[in-house]
Amino acid sequence: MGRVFVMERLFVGCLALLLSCGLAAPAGAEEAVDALKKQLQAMQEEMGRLMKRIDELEQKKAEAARVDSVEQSVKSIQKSPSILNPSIGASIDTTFEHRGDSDGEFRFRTLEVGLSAEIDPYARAYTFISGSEGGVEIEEAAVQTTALPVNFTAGRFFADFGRLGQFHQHELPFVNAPLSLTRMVGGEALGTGVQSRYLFPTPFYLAVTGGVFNEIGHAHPDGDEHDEHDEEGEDHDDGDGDHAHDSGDGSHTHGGDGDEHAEDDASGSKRFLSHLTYLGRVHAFFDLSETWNFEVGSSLAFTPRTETEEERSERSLLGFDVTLRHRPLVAGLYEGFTLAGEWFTNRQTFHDLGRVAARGGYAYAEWNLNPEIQGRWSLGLMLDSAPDLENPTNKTQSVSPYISWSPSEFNRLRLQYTHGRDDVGGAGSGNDGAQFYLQWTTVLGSHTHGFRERR
Amino acid sequence: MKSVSAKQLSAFVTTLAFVSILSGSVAAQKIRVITTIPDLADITRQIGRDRVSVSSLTLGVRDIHSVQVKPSMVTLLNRADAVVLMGLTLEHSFLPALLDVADNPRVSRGGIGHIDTSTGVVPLGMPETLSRKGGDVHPMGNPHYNLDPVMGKLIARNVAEGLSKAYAEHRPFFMENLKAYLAELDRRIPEWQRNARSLTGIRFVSYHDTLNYFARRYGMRQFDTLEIASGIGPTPAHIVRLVERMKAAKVPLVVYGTYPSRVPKRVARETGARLVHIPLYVGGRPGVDSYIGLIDYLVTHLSKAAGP
Repeated sequence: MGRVFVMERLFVGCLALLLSCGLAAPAGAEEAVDALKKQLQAMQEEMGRLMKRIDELEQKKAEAARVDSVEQSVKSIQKSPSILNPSIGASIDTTFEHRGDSDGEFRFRTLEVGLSAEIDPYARAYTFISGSEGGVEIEEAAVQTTALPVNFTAGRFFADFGRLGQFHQHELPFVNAPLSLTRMVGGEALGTGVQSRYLFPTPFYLAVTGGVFNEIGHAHPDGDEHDEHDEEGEDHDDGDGDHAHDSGDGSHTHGGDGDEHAEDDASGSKRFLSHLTYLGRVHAFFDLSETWNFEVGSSLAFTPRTETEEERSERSLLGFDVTLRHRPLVAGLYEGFTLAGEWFTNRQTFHDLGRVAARGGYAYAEWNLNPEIQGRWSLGLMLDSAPDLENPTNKTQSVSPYISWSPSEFNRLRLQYTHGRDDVGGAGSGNDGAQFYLQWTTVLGSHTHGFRERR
Repeated sequence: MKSVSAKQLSAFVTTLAFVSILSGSVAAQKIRVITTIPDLADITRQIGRDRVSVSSLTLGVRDIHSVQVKPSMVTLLNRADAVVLMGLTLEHSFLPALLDVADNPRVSRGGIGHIDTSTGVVPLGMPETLSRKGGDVHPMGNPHYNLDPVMGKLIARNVAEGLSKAYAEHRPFFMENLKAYLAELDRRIPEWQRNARSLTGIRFVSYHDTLNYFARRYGMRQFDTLEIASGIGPTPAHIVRLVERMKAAKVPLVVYGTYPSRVPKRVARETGARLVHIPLYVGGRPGVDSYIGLIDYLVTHLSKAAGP
């Protein structure tokens, strides 16, 4: 605008000069010269004013550039209000539960605090600290590369095994992890180790993960312990964690495995790398259409030599997971349909039983409804079949219908009924158990689970 | 016969390999740009023309606030040379999570291929307090600035600058295309201004705070939203009160974009206001296939609805 203004003024000035020359020509030569001098002087003054104006505009332009840089810095502060502090988020998960013949009780299941931040241009780190009635535990504490074409993660984190094993408890579609997942993977696929993922240059998403861990999830507990729980119909109700439950029955815990191994070493068993768990996973995703997509993955966790107090054995756990989703174009995430499941095969050599293969898994269907008014709803049904790892003909099977209501993205109520039945020796006989849950889950502050726990 | 089949098969495989290598090399010559919304894809195509291949992570009919995080998007971002985004936290529900796992530092925040088009935007609707009591707040202000065509010029400039910074050798080409695109917008902006005269002073109710920048440009006044807060859907009590207030104030217009139509239809019916289903992004309504077409549609249809 400023430039156009200047040009106009110049043009008018020149026109005036020409006109004045033309008019002055017939008069006397001296008069004409005087007039021209005056005009020239006027022009010079005008030029001076215009140059000043140009300077002013240039100055303003520079100021605007400065404003831009100030704006940039304000933006970067707004993006991360506490520049060098990590993003902080927390979730609270609390339930009222009624199981079997027991009286109902309130349970504070978890307070999970998550912190995450970039370390430098090459890596980021995150941690989730989980507190429950059973105590406080560092669930995850991991560092991840960000500048390499192949991603590396190291520390204590959810291994890339299966799907729901990588979900924090409060992010699950149902109140508790399926018992098959708890028995075969150990609930959450938590491990201490290192993992790397590579994305293939294919037109669709195809990724492969490799990793080495002390162990993934819990080490396999003794089947007897599970049976005791199963008969009470309470096995998957520990609520505040599979951790508390499993540490109670004398099996490995996530945090304790290192020490236990050390003790084994002291007792004379010599190992090098054969006691570690090796992970491999292939994972593909296909957009079937704009609204339908399909995801499939296969995982293998192999431990050449698992060790408990009494026995040593080879163990391999194979997992296969599928997810089919429909998300309509309008309303996106809050409406649609999910059909998903995982199937596991555990092969393990036991001291007195030899090699035993146990198979189990779960499947669920969930409808997300968005009636526009009064929040978002989801209705679901989960079926689960969890074998005893030592005696696979003994199974606990359950069916769990549930309904969730979310007044906002950060606040969810869920009602679930679970009917479980122990099938002893494949005879279909056993104890039935019924459980009711009312769950309230909320999220505060930054919520950074991101890609792993996508819906 | 068998040997012929084997030959055919081997020829087929060789051809396939050759074609795929060739197509790969052709694709490799182009700058691969991923944009978050189709508006940015259209503008980037205007600037980059045949030197870029552009795709958008979302469709114009999708609600940008509820985009499903899909692994296929990770694949796209992993191979991208540049990502163009609206910024102002418009994409906060999906883009940071995707970039975290895309293993592509070039397009991550701070990377040379991370082009945020909100540079220079003076945002509307800065929240007074940063609390989720106000719903899913945008701490940096309202991010729907794409609906103001003057901001469209800014977007185009930021895209051209961003691409030129990353690919200095193409700068003259990008700048020449920018000049042509800005000239086109400059030609259309006064025209839209003339055509939108009937919108001046018109009050409207919107589903979400999406039309604010457009409204400011053409003198419209937002009466309220159907949502009770950003990202928090309407409640029956809110609708009842809103309908009463709209009737008392004689609000003539209800607009909705990438949201379900039941509540807007009900409110329009109960208040006698006109209902307009507007595109919020390119592709948001049939026939809206360019950024200029998007503004054209908004001006034409809203003026028509606001007219006598």
